[in-house]
Amino acid sequence: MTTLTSSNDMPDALSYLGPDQELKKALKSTLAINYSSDNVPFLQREGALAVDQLAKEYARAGTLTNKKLLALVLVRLHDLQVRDFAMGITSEANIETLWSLWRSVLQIAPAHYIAPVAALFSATCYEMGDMPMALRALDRALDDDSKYPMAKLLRRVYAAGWPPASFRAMREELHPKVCASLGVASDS
Amino acid sequence: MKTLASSTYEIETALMDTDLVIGPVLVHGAKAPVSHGRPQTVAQQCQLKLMELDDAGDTHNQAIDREWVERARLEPTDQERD
Repeated sequence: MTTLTSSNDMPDALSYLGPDQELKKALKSTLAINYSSDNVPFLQREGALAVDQLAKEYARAGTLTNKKLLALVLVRLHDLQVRDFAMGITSEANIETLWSLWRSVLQIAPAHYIAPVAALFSATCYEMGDMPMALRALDRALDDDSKYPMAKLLRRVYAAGWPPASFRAMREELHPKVCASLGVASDS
Repeated sequence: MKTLASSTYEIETALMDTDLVIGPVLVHGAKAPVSHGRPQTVAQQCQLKLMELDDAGDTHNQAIDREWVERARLEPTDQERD
């Protein structure tokens, strides 16, 4: 299993690079999901497709240039289904790209948008066998939202000694169901 | 005690920080509870696995306790040693 970072470079790996005005502007104009409205499934689906597109664009370009798309992802990742979708797209083939993507997003995500991304990054680190970074990412998530349930849950998962391979198997088994509930193709 | 709407989202969120969740509650004359089926989110799956691991831990600890009791039973008492 590849470990891309050592504990020596951890302080820089997750540090906030400062406000991005274009991203802030895009976040303000992005619609959050109102769960009492009728268009929840549509907005969730839009969020999942945005995650997929962001991952593909990042794999191609290696940078985060599309701030509107990034804003859409950051806003919609607050939704559990969208976050589960994002967690499910990780595979052996793309895990290093997604590790880099979530780390890059963490470096520019403003407060209140960090926790879900940090949880995703943490889970990726965990699957790659980098437990110190996985825990550090959870700290970052809880700094942003001290009650963020997934961060607390992942901490318990790590502490319980659930093998990463078993966690990955659960994710992979669940992903088609998450996709079906969102109305997106599992290989989108 | 806190009551919540019976939605997948509410249940999943509540499960993170609760000691006890009472699922279906019979209200006389009201509509029967609806099952939410098998866990369909990562958080629910994690909760389920943690419960399994907790159970395994308890079973393991109980096995150790039983083994300790058996050994203790086989060992001579202080009176027998004397």
